[in-house]
Amino acid sequence: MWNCLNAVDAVLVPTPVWQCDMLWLALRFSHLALERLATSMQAAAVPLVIREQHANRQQVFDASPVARQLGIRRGMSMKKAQLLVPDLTIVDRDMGQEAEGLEHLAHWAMQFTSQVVLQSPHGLLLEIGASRRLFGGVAALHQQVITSCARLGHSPRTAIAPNPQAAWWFSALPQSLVITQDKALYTALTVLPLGCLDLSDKQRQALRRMGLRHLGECLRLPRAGLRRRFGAEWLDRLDRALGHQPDPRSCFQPPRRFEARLELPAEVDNCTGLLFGLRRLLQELGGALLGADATIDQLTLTLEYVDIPPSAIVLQLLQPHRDPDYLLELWRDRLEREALQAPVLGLRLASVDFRLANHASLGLFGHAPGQLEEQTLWERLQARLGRDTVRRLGVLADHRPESAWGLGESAEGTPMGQRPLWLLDPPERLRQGPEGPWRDGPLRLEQGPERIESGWWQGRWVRRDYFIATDSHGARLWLFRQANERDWYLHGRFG
Amino acid sequence: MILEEILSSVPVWRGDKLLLGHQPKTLSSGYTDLDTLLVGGGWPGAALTELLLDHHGIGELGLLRPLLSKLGQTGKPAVWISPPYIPYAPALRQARISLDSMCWISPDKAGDAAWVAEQCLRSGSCGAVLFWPKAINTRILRRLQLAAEQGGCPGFLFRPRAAASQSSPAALRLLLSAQAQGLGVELLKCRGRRPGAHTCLAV
Repeated sequence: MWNCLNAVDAVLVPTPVWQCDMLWLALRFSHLALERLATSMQAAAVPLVIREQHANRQQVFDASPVARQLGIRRGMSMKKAQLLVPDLTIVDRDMGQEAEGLEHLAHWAMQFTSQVVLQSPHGLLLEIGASRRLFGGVAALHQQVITSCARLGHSPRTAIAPNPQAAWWFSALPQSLVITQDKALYTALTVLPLGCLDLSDKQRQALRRMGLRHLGECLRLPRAGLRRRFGAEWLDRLDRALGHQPDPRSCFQPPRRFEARLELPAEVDNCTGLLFGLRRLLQELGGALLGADATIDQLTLTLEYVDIPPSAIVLQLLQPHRDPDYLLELWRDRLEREALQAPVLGLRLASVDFRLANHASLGLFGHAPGQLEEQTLWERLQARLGRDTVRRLGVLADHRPESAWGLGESAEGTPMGQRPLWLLDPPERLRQGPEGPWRDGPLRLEQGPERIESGWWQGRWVRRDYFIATDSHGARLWLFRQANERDWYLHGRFG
Repeated sequence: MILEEILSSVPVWRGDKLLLGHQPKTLSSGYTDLDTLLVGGGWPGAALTELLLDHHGIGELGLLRPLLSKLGQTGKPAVWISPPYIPYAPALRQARISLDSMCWISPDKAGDAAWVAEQCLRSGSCGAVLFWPKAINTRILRRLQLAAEQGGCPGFLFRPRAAASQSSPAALRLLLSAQAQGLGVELLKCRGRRPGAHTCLAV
């Protein structure tokens, strides 16, 4: 009996087909500042450099591909660069904006994993071991990250390794290295050039003087000597990269709200230009929402103008959403009817509070057709025309015809007499003909009168006699005459 | 007899069979006389229909009343775009047209109205689109017709009778006039039918 049960247990407990070891994907955005500028510039043809102050001399921090073709290198003095390319576009390095850019990328990366580590100043480490099955394997996930990066205008160097330190070092290699096994890790580390390690200039020089080129040669040296020369901290990092020591990292905690600003390099005075910048902001927002498993139902876009104070446009959604493409469509409709007051210099997108996504299970055979599309339709219409565009009619419990309908909810019941499908509000006063009311000819009274008398307690006392009449064109009209008065009014048409 | 055989055996194309294969979707108008007049026995279900009339109130809404009240049961909304007057809710309820499945949109700008009509037709989530354009040209009409085909949604356009002299891509065009017995309906254009047939409906 027990044997039998044990056998069943053995069948039921699945043997793990994948190990839940950690796997780290390192993204090294070497040209972070430049790519951030270039995406907003939409002009790759401009020779552009980023300038930095380095020990009381100004030097090139990064150069765009065009500038590099013209011979400008990193670390070159600005004087030399300007001699090489006279019409160089120069932008000062802004560390604050770079840090902000990296944080936005961390937001975006949250869609692939819940564990994102900021590797300042220009790197991200993504723990993908837990999410590889969801994305269809390491290779597929890797590709997806690269494609998504490219859509944002970034082309980082990437590497995958079982621990964050090794992944980060490998990402300095020009070609992308994917290592999923511990055994392969050691081999790969031994042939890693020492230039890939984050070393200070002094350390690098010392290693070169010792005649060391690869990490493997370092590892063969006695540990005590290495520690004395390069410090315990460096040795500790080496141990972590080799997997001899655990490497705990503190993960990026995204705030549950979103705010991002994008500076447009040139003044934009049309909707298309705005959408170009907005697409980027929405992509970042989409990643952040996916990472936080949240949705938003309100977005504020602030347009920063050249001279006048900024103005804000609010997009209110009927249903919480997070799909960036869909949001972009909505913004397109919204912005098309917005007249820009002045050329726009910058965009700021903000979303106040994230809502927890409300996941509904789909039926086995799909959702109710049409339901989803209808929501989408009303949303589109409201985005362009305003909130109160789509009106729903309701019946109100009132005898006065003009008060018997309203927008919104309905009361029960219908009036006794015949009512016209078209109502004129206000009623149209009719001419008095020789034998009664006149409108393009005499009106022939067919039915009536129906006395409607109500509302004296509200100060709008209605005492009317209603008639149904036919005019000379054959249209059936709904007329009334105030009791004890002679004037006729047209109040409706029977459609 | 021989002619009949030839027609049935050889793939001969005949005008009145034209659209039956292509356009199986029609919606009964609720009026037997009108259904026999129309190809496929009803309103075209995925195309534009033009109703040409000069005076509102001659029974143009009565013509659509059976269709609209049937739409209420499917739950798909009927969208009324820039109607000339206020659609009167108590009368709609008397006519058994469901108020829940009815939407009234009157954009401020004339261009927006055509855009709304196109969006509603294309989305495929509307039961019917009723549109009273202030001014419309052939280009917009063609867009609307294409949108109706794509979305599989019947669109009804209310235009003045003067528009009868202009060509239109709509699948069906009817001239409406008030007559002593009711509403006179004349076929101005109908795919797969000869124009000119007319009937009188008690709406």
